[in-house]
Amino acid sequence: MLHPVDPRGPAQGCVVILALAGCLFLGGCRSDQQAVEPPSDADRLVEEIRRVVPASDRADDLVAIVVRIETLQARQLDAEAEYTRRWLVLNADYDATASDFESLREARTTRRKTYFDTLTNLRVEAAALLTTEEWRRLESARGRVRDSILGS
Amino acid sequence: MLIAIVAAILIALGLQSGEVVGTIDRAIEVVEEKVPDRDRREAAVELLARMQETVEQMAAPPRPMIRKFVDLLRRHRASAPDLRRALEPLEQRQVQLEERIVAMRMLLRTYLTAEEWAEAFPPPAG
Repeated sequence: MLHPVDPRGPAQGCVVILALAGCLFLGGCRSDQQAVEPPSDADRLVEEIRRVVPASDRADDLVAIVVRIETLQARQLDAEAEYTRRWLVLNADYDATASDFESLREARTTRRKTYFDTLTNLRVEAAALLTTEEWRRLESARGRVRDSILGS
Repeated sequence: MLIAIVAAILIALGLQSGEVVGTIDRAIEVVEEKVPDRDRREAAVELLARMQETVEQMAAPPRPMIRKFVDLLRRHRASAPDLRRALEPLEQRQVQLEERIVAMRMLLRTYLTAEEWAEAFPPPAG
């Protein structure tokens, strides 16, 4: 089942993709925004890195990348919430035009591209810090969670 | 590690569906109650239902698309350009669905008066 939560369920404002993200990122399935960044789960991810990567300098760099991803993710969540709010404000205007919506979307697309580019660069940076075996061990530790969401 | 990246990317896709679906739910109720003309009312409700389906599609990218992206992320040496290329179909799909929602919204406007619209779609609180 791809949807961890029903978008029409009781949690008002719940974001299906956000919930999926929470599941993938932290290994739990919750339906609210807090699922993305409870400190205990973030700590678990850091512990996992410390356990798998023996060299502390590389582990430090990886943890720094995780922190950067968390920060970027939190900012992106705020930006997406603001985008949805602005979209709904525009929609409430009877005279809003298709081009008004397009302008709003273009600004968001630019911001999102920067976000994706930064993330992919961080991912490549993280991969370069890991041996193939370390990469495999970190990946397999999350495999069960991923498969439970994506199906095997 | 790679899962953190998947998660961080996925959150950026799509309007926040719960809020938009809730808005459309309320609009359907208002239209059913407030639009006196049967033809306009039925056309509007049908269109709103289609908008709702489209919003829900945005919130759930197809499993094969996600899987393909995740499979690439699993590769230790996947390059940044490869990753960006793999994201493109997901991005394009979201943009297309959002354009479809806006097109339906513009059509919906032709079924409702300004007064009916104001009741169906009040600005969000805050």
